[in-house]
Amino acid sequence: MSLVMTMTGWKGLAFTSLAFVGLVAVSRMPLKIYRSLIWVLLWMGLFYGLAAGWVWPENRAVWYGHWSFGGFMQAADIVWRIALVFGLTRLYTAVTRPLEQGIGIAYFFNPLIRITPKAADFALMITLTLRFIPLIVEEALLIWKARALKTEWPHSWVQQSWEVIQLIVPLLLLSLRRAEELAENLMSRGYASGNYRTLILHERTSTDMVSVIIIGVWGVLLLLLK
Amino acid sequence: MNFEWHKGEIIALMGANGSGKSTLARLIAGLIEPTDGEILLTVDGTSCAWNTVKRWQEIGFVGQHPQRQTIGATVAEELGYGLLNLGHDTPWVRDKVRELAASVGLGGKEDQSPSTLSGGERQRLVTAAILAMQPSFLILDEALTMLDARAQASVLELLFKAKLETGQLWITHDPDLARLADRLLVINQGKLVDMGKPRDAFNDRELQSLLGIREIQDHTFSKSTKEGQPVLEWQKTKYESRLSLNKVVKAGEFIGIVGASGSGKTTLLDSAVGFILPTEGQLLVCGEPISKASLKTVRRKTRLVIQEAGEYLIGRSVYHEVFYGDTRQDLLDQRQERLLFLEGFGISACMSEQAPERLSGGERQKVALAAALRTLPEILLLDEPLLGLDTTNRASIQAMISEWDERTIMYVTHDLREVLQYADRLWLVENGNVVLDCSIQCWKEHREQLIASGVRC
Repeated sequence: MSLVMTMTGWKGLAFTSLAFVGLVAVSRMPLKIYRSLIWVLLWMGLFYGLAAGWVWPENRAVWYGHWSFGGFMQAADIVWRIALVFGLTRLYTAVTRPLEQGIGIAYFFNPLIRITPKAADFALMITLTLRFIPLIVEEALLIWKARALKTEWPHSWVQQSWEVIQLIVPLLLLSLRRAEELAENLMSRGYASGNYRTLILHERTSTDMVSVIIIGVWGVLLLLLK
Repeated sequence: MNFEWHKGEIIALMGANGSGKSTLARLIAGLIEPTDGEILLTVDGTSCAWNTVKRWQEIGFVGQHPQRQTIGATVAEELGYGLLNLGHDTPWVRDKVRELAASVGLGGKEDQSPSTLSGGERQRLVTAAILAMQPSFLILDEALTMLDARAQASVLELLFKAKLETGQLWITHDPDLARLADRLLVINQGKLVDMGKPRDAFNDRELQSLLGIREIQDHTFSKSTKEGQPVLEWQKTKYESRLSLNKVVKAGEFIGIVGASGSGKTTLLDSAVGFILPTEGQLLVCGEPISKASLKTVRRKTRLVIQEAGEYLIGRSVYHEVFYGDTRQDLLDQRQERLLFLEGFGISACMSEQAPERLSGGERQKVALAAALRTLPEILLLDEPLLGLDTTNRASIQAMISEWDERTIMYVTHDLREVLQYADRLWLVENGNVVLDCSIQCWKEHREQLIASGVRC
């Protein structure tokens, strides 16, 4: 959808904006989840406004330029597209758990497995990352705890830096140990390169089919409304 | 070593820390190769080459840590991964997964991440996932160690159901668990000794002394009530929804803290050392309210040994780990006395020069204990300090703890027997609340409540 939104015209953006408002209303998510986007978009608007709004003649220096209405419109168009992409992404991450997002991405690799087994390995890597990264973060916190329980944290920044550097080695060793354990667990369940398939118990319902059709039609409309 | 293992047989394997139990397990599972000799698979007396069978299907492996066993993003994926690798089609696997999830009490949780499950549920999940592949043999490398009594019972139920079809090797330090097996093997000084039936074997005094097993006698408590000043006072404290306490610990008291996995025992100790600060009420440590500013003072008076401290060693060598933070001069000058101190924990001079990652799990735990206990603080907080230790080392650490009569000690455990001889009071924690606070002499009156909470009594 993000890709299609870079190709569509103002009618497509207007249609997507209406659709976005509708989705926000249906999702019942609090509007404060979009608060962080406001500052980002304001700064982006300022940046693009300056970059696109100030035009200068060829073979002249930049300070011989002037403000251009066309340039501002171009900047507004860019910020509008970015706002829609950010807003839709924010809504998506608010209503979909990271686990479901990862499984969804892995699921869409399933058809590619017929073309290359590497797609299966990539899909497995995504699902393992969902598990492995939080595990390593937890372990890092425990290493930090173990350190905090030993001696007082030094005052000088040189010694503090040295303390942090000293923790990198045990953390790396711990990560490698966890990775080895994960690899052994995979091997003991019959892991072989290229044979991973996602397993989703959810059976496709009519709501799912309707949603897929709506998104498909939406994408086509965006391409037509140039 | 030479031994035979038959389908349908449960073997318990015991031995001291570092004797090679886990190495043997990984050799059998094919995760490492022997430097000499071979491991043969025989079917009806005829030797079968490993390349004609799927070794990973024939020999299942379940490790110790529930958090680190799972590979799937969801419960369904965990149960179905091995089945898909065996070549079963997806619709069949979906139905099978639903059936398996229901059979282990995880029905309705198929789409959840395994990280949302308790330790016992995770270990049940992994065991069910491996048993679903119908292995001829299953190795459990201290797989029941970290579980409370209830969780252990539920996994044992699965294992006994699968006994006829699946030979099992239980690696354990727990004599009570070993007694449930058909045969007992002990690794002693690099040799594997077949002790026969565990019930008969445990009557052997030589074996008892080898493994450091003592009969648990009915203990008569002679400890008087401690009348010291309060050292820890939780005054109507709440830690969000995780913990709620209104308790006092007096100087010199030994509090045994028991409860099921996930009940809040570790959080309680974290609160005492200031890793989490109260959101309501206040905690006084030796009369001073705990706050971000007073953490340094609090941590000088308290010492916490975290759970599985042996996994989180940060020193370059064992010696450096135990005496972390000392100057180079001190490390050299006081070496002899320090090596003697390490010997008290079963750490030899030669072991002290090794990097911690080269040691076995139990040896690392000993190092962590030595590091935490080299200077005794006023308040000692111990979170399952004996986890992973063999019976001999447990006995020596417990003997050490018994000498610390003047210290205030808070000791977390799943097994009440670890603290029965030493504790003054007993706290039972459930859902972040201390639901029982009684003197140790009265523990038998609350036996049913303790057992219902998953405490081993």
